[in-house]
Amino acid sequence: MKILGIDTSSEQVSVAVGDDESISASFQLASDRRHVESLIPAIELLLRNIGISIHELSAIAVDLGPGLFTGMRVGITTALTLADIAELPLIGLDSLQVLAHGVERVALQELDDAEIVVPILDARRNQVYWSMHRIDHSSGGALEEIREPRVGEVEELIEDLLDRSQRSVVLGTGAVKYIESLIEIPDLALLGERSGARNFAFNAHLPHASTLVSLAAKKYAAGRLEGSPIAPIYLRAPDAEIQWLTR
Amino acid sequence: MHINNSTVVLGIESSCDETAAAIVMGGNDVLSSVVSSQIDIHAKFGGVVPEVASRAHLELMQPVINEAIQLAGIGAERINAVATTIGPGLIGALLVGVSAGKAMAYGLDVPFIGVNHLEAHLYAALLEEPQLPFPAVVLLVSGGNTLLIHMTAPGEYSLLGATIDDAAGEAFDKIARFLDIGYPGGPAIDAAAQQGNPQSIEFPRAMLHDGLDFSFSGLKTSVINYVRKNPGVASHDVAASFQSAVVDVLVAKTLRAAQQVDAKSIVLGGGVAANSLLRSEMQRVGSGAGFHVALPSKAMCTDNAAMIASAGWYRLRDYGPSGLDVGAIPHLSLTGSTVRGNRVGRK
Repeated sequence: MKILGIDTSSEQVSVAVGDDESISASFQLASDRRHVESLIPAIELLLRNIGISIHELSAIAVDLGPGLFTGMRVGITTALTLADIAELPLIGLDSLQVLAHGVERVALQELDDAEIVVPILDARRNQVYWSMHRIDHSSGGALEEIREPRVGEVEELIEDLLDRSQRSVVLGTGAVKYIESLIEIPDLALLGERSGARNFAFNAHLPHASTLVSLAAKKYAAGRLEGSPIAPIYLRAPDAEIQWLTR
Repeated sequence: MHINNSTVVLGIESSCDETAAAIVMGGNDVLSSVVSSQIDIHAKFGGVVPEVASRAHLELMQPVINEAIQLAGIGAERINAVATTIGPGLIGALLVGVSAGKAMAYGLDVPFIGVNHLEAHLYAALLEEPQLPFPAVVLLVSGGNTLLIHMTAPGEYSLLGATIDDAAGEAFDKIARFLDIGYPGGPAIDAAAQQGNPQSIEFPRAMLHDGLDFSFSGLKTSVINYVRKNPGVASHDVAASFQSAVVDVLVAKTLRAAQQVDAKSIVLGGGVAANSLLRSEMQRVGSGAGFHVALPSKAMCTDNAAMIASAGWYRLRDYGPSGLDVGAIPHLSLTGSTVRGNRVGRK
């Protein structure tokens, strides 16, 4: 099994190839919005170096957002086109799920004494994209989504967390940006705080293609490829649409 | 790679509100040309909304590409190169086409060619008239541009004149919106003008006798002021008089340019070139002065991907492919510099 993962839902360009056991190659560019310039050259570089062509892939996985609209569209269009040409199945996953599962890859011990993981991405305009995942300690710390991806004011998220009063790990660009407000919540910690870890193998506050590949590979192995269509998860209507509806 | 008459190019266009793909063989044999217009989607906003356009491009791009391949009666493996508009245009819209184009080129293992949308408009006339006599003067008029170009051969051109403020198409859109006569503005003014008297109101012909540059901002203000002072005036008379003022200037300057550079042909291009008065006047005045007048079909004047594929074929033959690391360039100008707005650099 070889899965190509494409994640351009944030400012960075992240590409990886691997299966459910390991990642054979990954590319990470933390530059400012060079998605369209870098993506195909990055894919070419990875596949060339592991000596396979796109036709030898088992599937393509893509981050559907929520996130940076222009970036999401570059990744999704590229994935749709490549999958069509090479006749490969496509696996789409939301960015918050990818972000949350990144914890398993960088600091598994963080999950030991927590009950929920809350991935939070900055959505600007004082809003955040977030979802919520319960840590199932009875099955080795597997994550189970208990709140679907949504967009809203930071205050709404804070209220939800106060109501639950569970030990939580928060991560993502939104968590970093609003940590001053979030830290007021009892039993809440930013990723890395409990374990004292500071330097992760990659920016753990953004979704990463390696995590995307691992998650997609599990789906592929389980034969669960049908279901939701490959379409961007915007969560927010275009401004003009909102103004037109509320005119 | 040897480029010849059997080289098949897939063209992709997404710079504004048309999602388009086409298959063109040998530079001007159009095997298929599919254009999916988003006019209905943007109509309620009275103009193209960039984020709305970008979302629609993402949904339409793949079906449009696949339809173009199917209609051409070829398999994707027959495609020898992929040409895609990289600018000028709306950044979010361009990114969808460039992503699809590069992925197609990489997936098919064929060259990728980034195409300047404005340059492609120059090839539209050649697609329908491969034996077009050169040198030619091209009037390129659209919602974003008003340019007079001296074209000595395919791929060889220099700028003679440009608008110093609004593009002609922009003026049509703004006046149509102001008169509330429909969207998009060009066809709406054209239709209303058919019912009106073009001599009823004397609007200014800006810079008519002054060089080869254009200005439409003063005309727009003049129309708006006139209607505010004369609220009872019939919209179709305003539309006809306004259209007549724009067309007079466009035709007069094109003719002067053609005489100055001793051109053989006058060529129309761009969305406004679909305007019926502009077409008939350019034909009448141009032929009267002894020029060959090339009026591409309306489908070829407005945004399409056949012209992108055609421009891509010439570019591939003369300059080779672009790298797969090119990006979208929203303010790409015809002469290479990336100046903001309509005022492009001169050769």
